Amino acid sequence: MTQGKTVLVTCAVLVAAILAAAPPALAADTMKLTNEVFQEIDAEGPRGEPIRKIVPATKVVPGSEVIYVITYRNAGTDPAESVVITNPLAAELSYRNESANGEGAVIDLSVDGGRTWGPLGSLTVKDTEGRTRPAQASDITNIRWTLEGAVPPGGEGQVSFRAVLR
Amino acid sequence: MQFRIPTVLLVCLCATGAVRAAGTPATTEIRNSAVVTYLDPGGTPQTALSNETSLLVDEILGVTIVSNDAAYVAVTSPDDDVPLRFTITNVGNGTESFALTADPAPGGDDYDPTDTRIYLDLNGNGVFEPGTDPLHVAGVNDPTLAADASRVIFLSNDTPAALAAGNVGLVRLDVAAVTGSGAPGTSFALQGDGGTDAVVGATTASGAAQGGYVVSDIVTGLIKSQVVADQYGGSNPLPGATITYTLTLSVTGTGSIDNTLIADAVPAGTTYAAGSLRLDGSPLTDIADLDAGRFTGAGIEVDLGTVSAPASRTIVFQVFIN
Repeated sequence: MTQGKTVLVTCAVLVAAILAAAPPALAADTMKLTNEVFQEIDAEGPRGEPIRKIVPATKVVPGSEVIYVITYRNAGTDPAESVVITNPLAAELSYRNESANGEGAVIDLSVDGGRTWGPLGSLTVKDTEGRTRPAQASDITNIRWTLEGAVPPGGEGQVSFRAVLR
Repeated sequence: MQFRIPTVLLVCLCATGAVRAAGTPATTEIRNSAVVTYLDPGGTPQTALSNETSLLVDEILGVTIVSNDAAYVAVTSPDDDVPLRFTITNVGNGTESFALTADPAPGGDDYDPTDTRIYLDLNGNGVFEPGTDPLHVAGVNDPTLAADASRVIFLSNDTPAALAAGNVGLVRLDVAAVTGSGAPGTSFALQGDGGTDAVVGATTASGAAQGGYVVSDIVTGLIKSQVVADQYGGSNPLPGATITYTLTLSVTGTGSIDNTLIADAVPAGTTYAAGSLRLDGSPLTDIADLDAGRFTGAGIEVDLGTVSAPASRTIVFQVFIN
């Protein structure tokens, strides 16, 4: 499971760039963001039938799938406009194609650390010889949800995606 | 005729980046956090970070075992300490020790090899060197392999007397991860690397392979060794130093082999030492004439014709390091 493409911008650099660009906040911490991770396991239902259960994930084996759920909430007194949530993906996680979800959100993907965005079909990567090829889900480095409306005071919602541990 | 020629096995560990064939290394911590940007009513951009979640990568237990012998190994009846070769590979994502068990009576054959011993090719040269290669003692020196690493295992056996040519004796070698094995998904809590759980992967963390011997009338072997002597009385491989190669042909059992030609190329970076070719101590001329040997320009050739068992022939030649 090797990746033959050029090194991408890391999460820390991306976050630092966002924070450096933001002037001191007037209404600090209006939006709250919570991140949780789950996995599906086999369990028994009330009548002993086999069911799938979603439980918090702490330890995972390579090859297993995890579900990230991000909950946003406007804890302030003013509406929040132009809300954009981004999640940089750890290098060991492989994005599960078409798994990103979010009601009222436009979803974009990036393969270059968040410099450029688009649907998977529009993205390309360079291999180790410098040749360009269409991007695959396993090349995704960042996921972005752009909420279509403002989030009113007290408003909240969830976005999510799945990834497989390489 | 079959030659028992020692071969050097090349093991390619093709790992690029942090992820290898068996997946993300055990004990890796996967961190995730999200960022939200928005505009406040004044149009000022704001940012908030989520908490960070952390996942710990558990250890997968996995092993494969293969026989390295392409065909049954020829033996005489009786015969002693003839090795079968196997390779075990840790296909999990953490470091693991592997238990080895040999069974010289797996059935489906004509005889049971005896005096079964397992040796570990710890120096990794693929050559059966009992003694230098330690004898395996269960629970004491079970081989420990990092993720993706392999180890050659020698299984040495004797063949009893009074067997007929063509009789086959099979030996089975079983391997299993010491931490545990069984149905895929079985978890051994906290017993993986660094306090992770060890989880059995698709291979069941166990496996078996079989090798075999076939009693042959005649068995031949060719062994090559080298000695380096430099111009200053030492043994350093310096330009100008001399390498003396010794090729020993052994023919055991009964019968003879015909058209026996021993050839060896002069290695790149060296020059043949004219007049150095010897057969059983006697000089052979470099030119093609009535004696058995010649220098072809690229290497030496010695034509031994028909060799009857039992026999041992020693060929020596020298090169200078350029």
